[in-house]
Amino acid sequence: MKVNKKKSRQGGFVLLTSTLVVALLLTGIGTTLFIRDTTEAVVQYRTDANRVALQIAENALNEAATRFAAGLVPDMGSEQFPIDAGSGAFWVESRSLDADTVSLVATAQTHGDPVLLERIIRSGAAGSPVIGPYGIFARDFLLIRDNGTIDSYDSNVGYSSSSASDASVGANADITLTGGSTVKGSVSSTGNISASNGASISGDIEQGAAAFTVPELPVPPTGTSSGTYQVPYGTRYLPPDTYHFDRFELQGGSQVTLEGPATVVVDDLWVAGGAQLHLDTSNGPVIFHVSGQFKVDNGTRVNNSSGNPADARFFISTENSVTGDEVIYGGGGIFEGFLFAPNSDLTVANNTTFFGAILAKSLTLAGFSHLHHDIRLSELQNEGGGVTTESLLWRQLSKSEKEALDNGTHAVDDREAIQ
Amino acid sequence: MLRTPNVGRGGFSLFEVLISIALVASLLTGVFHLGSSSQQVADSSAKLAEIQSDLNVALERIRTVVRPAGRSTITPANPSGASQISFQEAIGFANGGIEFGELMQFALRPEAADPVDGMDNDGDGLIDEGELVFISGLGTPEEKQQILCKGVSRLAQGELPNGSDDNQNGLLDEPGFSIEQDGEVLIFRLTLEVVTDGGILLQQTRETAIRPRNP
Repeated sequence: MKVNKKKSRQGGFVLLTSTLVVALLLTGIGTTLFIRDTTEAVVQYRTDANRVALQIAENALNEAATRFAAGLVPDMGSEQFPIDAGSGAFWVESRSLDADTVSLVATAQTHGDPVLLERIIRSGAAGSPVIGPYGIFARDFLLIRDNGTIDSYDSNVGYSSSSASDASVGANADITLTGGSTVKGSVSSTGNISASNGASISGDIEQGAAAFTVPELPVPPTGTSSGTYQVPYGTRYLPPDTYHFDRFELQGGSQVTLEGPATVVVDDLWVAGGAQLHLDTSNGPVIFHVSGQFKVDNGTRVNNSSGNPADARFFISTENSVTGDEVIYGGGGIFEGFLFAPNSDLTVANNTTFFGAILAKSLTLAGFSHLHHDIRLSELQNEGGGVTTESLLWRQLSKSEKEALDNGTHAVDDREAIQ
Repeated sequence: MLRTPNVGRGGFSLFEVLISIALVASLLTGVFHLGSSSQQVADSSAKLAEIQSDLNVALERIRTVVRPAGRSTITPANPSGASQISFQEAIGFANGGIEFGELMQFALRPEAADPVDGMDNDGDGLIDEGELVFISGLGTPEEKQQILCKGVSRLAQGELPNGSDDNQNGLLDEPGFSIEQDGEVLIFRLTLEVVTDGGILLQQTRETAIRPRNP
């Protein structure tokens, strides 16, 4: 009997120990699973919070840009008094960079780290490469004759004749197409629109439209002229800078590469036959301000490396009534850019190929010339009751970059923090 | 002395024992099959969850990095089904223009342990699978490479190597990582694959569309 009692006690001990061991194992497994799931949940939670904050910040920037375009103060809320945005809050601070350019910084916070976005925008009242909804526009009459063609392309994608029917052509006077000329797209005029002798318009036609208010010419930067910049032959390079010349002259066969960002203020610009003007816009735009003669002869090339016409802008204030001043675009050449000449009667001569957008006082497109309207320009922001803004920069800021912006110093390299 | 028969210790007949053994064996077999089947399902679910997680992480990384890119810096300019893309992020603004940072790249390349030779060199059940790599500082001494995910299918889900658009997305025989452009929007598609312990091939595809914010 004693032996049986001992065995019974030993059996109870084994059972208790086994139960404890099993309980310990289950606790360990449970704790591990709990920690793993909790860690994954925390990571997911932070990712979701970051995504929501990013969305809030981007919406805040868009709203601030709209306010800026409408002439209102773009600042919204403050760090002390952020604006509630559902699951988060935000504020926007602005910093003026020049007369028509502003930096907007939005800070949005949900439950994780704050997200800081910066957007730099330029008011497009003057200098924007946007002509309202138009790609080709004349303040006065517009004449397309002798197999001239206007169609469209998207510089993001490239030109394809099979998808080139979105051109937008307009004039604050009559538009006339003759002799087999073609517009692949819509045409709008305050006056009459006529297409005769085999001419055709593939898109919508609007006659008697409301007049379009042409944006002002931008004011060029002031400075002292360096005289004449003349390239008689060979190859030259101009680094990024702001230049002032009386005359910018490329003679036949010469080549000049002008690297952006650059601004050239010049009285007369002449690119002689066979010369080439390469605009290296990979690091910034090149902007010309021409006040006198603008003459681009036969067989010239004006290239724009980015392919975005907004990066190669020619603002021509020339009035043809001034003796000796003429605005002529020669035949057989290729041009990529934005040509804005609201006071000039512009003739695009035979066999010219043009990529981008044109605005002129009057515009005559001669035989077999081809204007390709870049619809990408029309996609630039057009907000605030017709006042346009152009987005110049979008970036996510680290904390130190924000502090550097506030203090006007260089940021500590902590960009990894926002990757 | 007559002994009282011990009825309680009479034992089982051979037939009864055989029946019992057969029943227990049948029960154990059923339990084993059930357990095995459950394990396969659990294995499939775990691996599926794993590649879905890898897809999410990789595409989130792509969104984060591509969002501040400059559209003018993207190479190729029109990546119709390309398996790699290079670009630069905007890092600042000076002299009226954007300052772009170092060259970055997302690229599909063969896994080192499974070169493209039509064979399963690394014994993971997948043939010629690739890996998605993010490269920063491309072409500089500070170049860094980070593998975002492995097990990228040689061809996108639904595609066969036949020169046709089998999955009807407009691309012919596109790889498991491909980029397409629609206007200013880039569409990234990623297909990951894995083989379960039971030999079943699992594939998952996700895509994300993003518009680089800078010109």
